[in-house]
Parts: sequence; structure tokens; C-alpha cells
Amino acid sequence: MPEYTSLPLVESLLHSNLGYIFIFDSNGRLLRWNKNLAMLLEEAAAMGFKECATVTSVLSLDSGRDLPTEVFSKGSILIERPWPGYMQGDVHDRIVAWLLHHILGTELYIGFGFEEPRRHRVETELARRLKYQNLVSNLSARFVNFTPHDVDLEIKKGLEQVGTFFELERCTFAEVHRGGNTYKTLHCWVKSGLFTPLSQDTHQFMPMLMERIRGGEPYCFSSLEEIPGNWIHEKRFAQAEGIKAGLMVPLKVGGSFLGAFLIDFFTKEYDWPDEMVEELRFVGVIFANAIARRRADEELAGSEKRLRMITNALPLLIAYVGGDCRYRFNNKAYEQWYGIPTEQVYGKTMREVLGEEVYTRCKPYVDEVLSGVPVNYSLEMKLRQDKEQRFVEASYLPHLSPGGQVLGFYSLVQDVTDRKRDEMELQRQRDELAHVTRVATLGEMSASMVHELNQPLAAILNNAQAAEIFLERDPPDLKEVREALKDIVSDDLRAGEVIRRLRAYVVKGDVKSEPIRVNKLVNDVLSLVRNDASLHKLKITTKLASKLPEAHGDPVQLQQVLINLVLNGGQAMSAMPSSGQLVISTSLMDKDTIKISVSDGGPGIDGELAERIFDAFFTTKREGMGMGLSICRSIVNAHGGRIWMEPRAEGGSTFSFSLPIKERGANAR
Amino acid sequence: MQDDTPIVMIIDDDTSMRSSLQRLLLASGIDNVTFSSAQEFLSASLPDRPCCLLLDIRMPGMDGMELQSELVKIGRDLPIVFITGHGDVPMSVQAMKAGAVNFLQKPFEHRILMDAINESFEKDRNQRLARTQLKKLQERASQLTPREREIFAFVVSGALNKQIAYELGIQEGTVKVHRRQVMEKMASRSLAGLVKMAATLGIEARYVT
Repeated sequence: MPEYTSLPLVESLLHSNLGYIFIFDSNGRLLRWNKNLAMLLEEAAAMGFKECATVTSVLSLDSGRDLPTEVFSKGSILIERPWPGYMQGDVHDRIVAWLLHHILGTELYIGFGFEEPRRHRVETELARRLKYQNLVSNLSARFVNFTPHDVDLEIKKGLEQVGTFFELERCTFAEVHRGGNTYKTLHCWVKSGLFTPLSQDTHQFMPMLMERIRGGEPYCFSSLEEIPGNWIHEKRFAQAEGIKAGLMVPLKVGGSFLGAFLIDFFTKEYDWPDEMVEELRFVGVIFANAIARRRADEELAGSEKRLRMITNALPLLIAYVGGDCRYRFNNKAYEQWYGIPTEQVYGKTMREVLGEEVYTRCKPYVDEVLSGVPVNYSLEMKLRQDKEQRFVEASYLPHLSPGGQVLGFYSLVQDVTDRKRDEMELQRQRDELAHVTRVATLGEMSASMVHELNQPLAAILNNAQAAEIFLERDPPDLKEVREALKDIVSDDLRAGEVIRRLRAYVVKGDVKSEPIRVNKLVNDVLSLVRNDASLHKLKITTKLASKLPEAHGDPVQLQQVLINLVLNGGQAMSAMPSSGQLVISTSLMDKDTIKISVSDGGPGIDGELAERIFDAFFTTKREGMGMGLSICRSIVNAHGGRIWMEPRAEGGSTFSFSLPIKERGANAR
Repeated sequence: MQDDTPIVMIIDDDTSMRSSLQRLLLASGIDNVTFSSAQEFLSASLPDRPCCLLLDIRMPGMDGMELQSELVKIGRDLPIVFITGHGDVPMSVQAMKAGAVNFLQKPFEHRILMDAINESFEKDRNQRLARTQLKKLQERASQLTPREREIFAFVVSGALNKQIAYELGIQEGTVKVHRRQVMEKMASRSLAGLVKMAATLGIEARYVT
């Protein structure tokens, strides 16, 4: 007895009428076949085909093909091949494919021939599967692309798609309250032409059903009788609604129970195929994700609301701008600034909100932040509403994805007009004070000034008178006259230079920012103060570093600082019994800063006073106003430097101030 | 042969001032020599000629007034014309008290400069003359014997020979001889001349008791 007879399944198949079945061995030889195939083979024999003894001949394939080995290696193969044309007739034409299968544990193989109706079913099933895939991808796409505002509409449309696809009568989307026994019908689709009393947004008390589906498994009943007796509320509801069959699919996302999918039939009892339940369950997952996302959006909206409340209370323009330069979030300040209602800013482009002119000026900074770099800048601009120039300070902060991609940026803009005006007023007062004290210093220096002028004037007069005498000689000594005239010219120039410097120092001009050669500054100051009474006994030496880069600032104000320090140093030393040395030095403090120091050999300043010397109205001089060093400090600070005093080891003090090499930004002052 | 042409010493730290003064004096036919500081002047050897200083009052290091007091200290009493700037009045007063001849406030006219210089030269000439005469008298006085010097002091007080003889306990005739010797050695022909010489030489008169 061949082994296969011991295989009950094979045996039972051979006795069934399910298509065409045969057994063949590893040589491809047919061993047994069922009745349907026997009839087929008999007919074939009747038609003159006698060689239907092997699987290749039955399938009328090339006899060289080794089907048993192919099947053995793959387990099973499907060969789509219609029954050969030598058998004309309706019945036989319907065979379209053969499934060859290795029977495990044996060296036998089984073959199935499929008929056309079967194929049709397969095709229908395949088409339905395809349609289902379409539905799934369609729904997924729907819920992926929606915006928070559209979610309800999308769910509704999704329900309609599902209902139509599965040929349902009513399909409800319900939200289950956390831990509760009720659900709330959020959305409902009803087959057209069907009347149903269930309305949206109603709460249904279904404790048993809720309990049942909370575990995550769907529940269905094919008829009312299947509903358990103790499900009182559920049964009552179904009866009241006229429901004949129902399916409830729980919706869970990441372990949390969000709601359920309720499908009801009213016109018929319905035997829920497992496949359909599975499919609906999967559709439910898609919906659940959408709902979860909507919840997240709602929570976000809640937190956005809180954020908005906070940001609205701030006197800043706060916004989030997407990578497309459209506003995605903005606070109320936009309404006050641009006259656009707060809600209407959303979705508008920066160009639309800011106006063409301002936008053009902001554009470079927007480009910069969208390249992923935080940006700070100041701007003077006109608002749409008023004609007044406003000063704003803006910070853009890029919003980066975890992958480093720029998604958008946060924009913080502050109106600093008032502060700026205060600063400008303060600056103006400071400049005014600087001028006043400069003129006052000039009073102190007047003797020195007169001497400076007298010197060339006297020399000119001497030379002129000498020239006169040389001319009167007989013959006139023209060589000497020429020499005298040459000296007159140079002395006159010298006098002119003194006057120019003096004017520049006293005349109140605008505060400039120009390149300053620090060593020249020192020499200019020396020529102004060289003959000052308090300095005339001093030896002033300079130690100037060569190749200093240029600083930037207002030359007159910086001269004033240095003059003050030099005069102070001279005055400090006038109290000393022996005449000493005043040293002015310049050096590079670090790569960005120049230091200018004035060292005196005076009595020094003791620790307690040292802390107050830069304060306004602090003075140790009987006639001093106490403004000198205070003004020095404000001038130096306005230049971005600082001023300080250090005691010298050998006695006396060193006053130094620093100046940055880089020019400060145009809006820095 | 001694050169008696006067010479001006210009001391000023300002180059153009210095050279313009030099040129002006040259034009005026006045010899001059320049120094850029007080120290330079002090360390230079000076010609034995009538001279004056044209001195800038404000100079770094030793200033004009310090130089003036230094010169007094070392006994070189040279006439000084100070050149001052505006506002140096208190300093000028002090300098004048210390014996400055003149002040020129910058800028100054040629004539005023020349007057000041000539005045200084005159003063220096006189001083030099006085110094020469004193020297002559000192030389004469040095020839006197101690006794003659004693008699000299009594004579210039107007004492009579008799009184001197009594005071010294010597003969009147001896006093007479000494007296004649003093008159001869001092080359004085009168008592009045002798008295003047004593004042110049700083010889104190002795009075009989």
C-alpha cells in the first residue's frame, strides 16, 4: 500500500468534488486522481490523447521540465495555465490554474486544478482587497493632511467612505469618556434613505458594553438575541433604536482607550465575517490616530491659549513664523502695531503684515534666521498706523527639527523708542556737559594757550623786524630776508594750527565717530597742554607703542579725556617737593583694545578716595567742580571703553582708559 | 687785547623763538650766542666781555628764575632781560626783586628789545668798571702794613693825629708818618677820597674812645 493512503486529508480530498485533484510522485508520475480529473482524462483519451500519465503531460508542459523538484524546493507553486485546447467544451475551458504542493513528510505531491468560477471569486476578492487598501490609504492620507480646523469634517467624510465601502447602514464614531460608562457620539454616518433617530453629540450610558470593549477586543451581535440578558441598558437602547445587528470596535492608541466605532444594521440581522471585523478594526485604528491627534491639537490649542494669554500681556511683538514666512502664531501686540485683528495675522505673510518697506529691510535677517542662526538687530521704522519713527529691537530664534532642519523661527520684537529717546537725551546732556567742562578746562589752560600762540607770534615779529633791518641795508641782505620770511611762514602756520586745535576743542560740534590714531591723539594733546602752568616744571615723556591699529570715536572728546588726565597728573605732582616725570603711554591691551595711560609721580590716591574719584561732584581741589573724571568716564564708556586708576608701586597713580578697535555698530549710540 | 664788544646770551627752549631772536640781533649788529636750556648755559664757558642774558622765564627743567638765583648764588651777577608770556606778572615781580634788569612781554618791538639790551649792557659795563676799580683799590690796600691799616681805619673816622697817637700809645710824629704812607699807597690826595675808598673796600672806621 502506498504511504499516501495513510494520509486522511489527501484521501478525503481525492474523494471530494472540489476541482481537479491528483497525486504524483517525484518522477512526475500520476499515482491517483479524483473523479473530476478522471473524467477529464477519459475525455482526453477519447479525443486521442493518451499520454496523460505524468504531471507535465497533464499540464501539457514541456516534458523536460522537472516539476517535482521545483515544487519540492518551494513547497508549492502556482502555474497559471488553461486546460489545453484539445478539449473543446464549456466545462474544461474553465480550468485556468494549477496549484502543485509538496505533501510534507512524503515524496508525494498533490496538484489542484482551479476552475473559472473560483478564479472569479479570487479576482473579486483581490479587487475588494485592493479597494480596501485604497480605502485605508485614502483614510490615512485624509487624516494625515488635515489641519486642526478640518478634523471633524475629515472624520465625517471618512465615516462615509467606510460606510459606503462595507455597505453598512449606520456607522458612528463615539468618544468614550475617560474611565466613564458612557460614550459620546461624535460623528455619525447613515446610509442614505435610512431614517435613524441617533443624533450626534448625545451621551449613551452603556456600562456593560464599555466594560466589554475596554479590553480592546471588538464585540458584535448578529441579532438582538445574542445580547446578554444582563446588558439591560444596551439591549434597551438597541430595541429603541431598532438595531438588528451591531458591531463595536474599540479604538486604542498607544494603550489609551479613546473611543469606539459603532456599526449598526437596521434592516437585517448580520453575520459579521471575521475578515470584515478585522478590516473595520484596522480602519478604527486609523480613526483612533486621527482622534488622538485631534486631542493633542486640542491640548496644544489649550496650551496655545494659555501662551497667548501670557504673550498678549507682554508689551512685545511675539510671533512664530513658518519656513514659508507666514505667521503661525502671534500675540495681540500685532493688532496694536499693525491694525490687523490678531486672528487675521495667522497665515499671512510677513510682507503682508509688515508692509513692503519694512519687510525689505527685515528680509536679510529673516534669511539669516532661516539658515539656522539666531539673529538680533535694531531697526528704525514707521508703523503702519502712525507717521512716527519707532526704534525696534528684534530677536529671531530659529526653530530646528531634531534633524537640524529649520522649520520656522520665533520672532520677538520690542519697541525701544522711549528708551532710545531717553538714551539720546542722556547722550545729549552728556555731550553738553562734556562741552561745558571742556570750556572750563580751557579756562584752566588759557595761560598755556596764550603762550602757545605768543610763541609763534613773537617769533614772527622778531623775524619781520629783522627782515626790515636787512632790507634797509645797502645793499639789502636779501639772503637773510628770505630766511626770515621762510621762518615767518612756518611760524604763522604753527599759530594757525594752534588756533585750529583750540577751535576744534572748544567749538561744540556733533559727536563724530572717526578713525583715531591714538599716538597722534597723544601728541595733539601734548601740544595743547605743554605749556600749562601746572605742567611747566614737569618733564613729560611718552612711551608710544608702534604700529597701533586705529580706534574709533570722537577725537575732541577723547582729547578732552586725555587733557583731563594729564592736567590732573600735573596738578597732583605740583604738590610734590621735587619735580618729577609724567609718563603718557599707549599700548595694545589685547587684540581688540588699545590702552592709554597717564602715570604721575604725585602723592597717590588713598584707597577710600580711589573708589569715588570717578563720581560726579567729587573733588579734592578747592576750586574744582568735580566733573572732570566723571565726564571722562562717561565719554570713555560711550566709546565702549572703560577708565580706571591704579596706584604705582613707586608712588603716584596711573590713570588708564581703553578704547575698542572695532567700530561700534551704527545703532550702538 | 681784551674784546669789549658786548654780547647777548639768548636762552630759550623754543627753537623758532631762539632763531628769530638770533636773527634780529644779528640784523641789529649785536653779537649773540644761543642756548636751549639753563643747564646748557651754566655748563658753557663764557667770554670775558660785557654781556647780558635774554632769558625765557618758562622753560622745562630749570626755568628762568631758577637760573637767576643760581647765578646770584655762584656770584655771577649778570644783567638779565626776561622774556615773559602773558600772565606771568607775579613771577615777574619776584624776578625784578631778585635784580632783573628788564622784562619783555611777548611779542615785543625791536626798539624795546634794543633799549632793554642796551640798558643791560650799560649796567654790565658799569658793573665791570666798578669791579675793575675795586680790584685796583684792593691791590693798593694789600700793600698797607697792619699798623697802616689800623691808622687808615682811625683816619677815615675823622680822628686827629694826636687822638690816634694817644689811642695807640705811640708818638704823634709816628702817626703822621703812617698817615702819609697810607695816603701815598692808596693814591689819595684828600681825606674825602680816602673815606670813599674805605666805603668801597668795606673798611670800617674806628672811633677813638
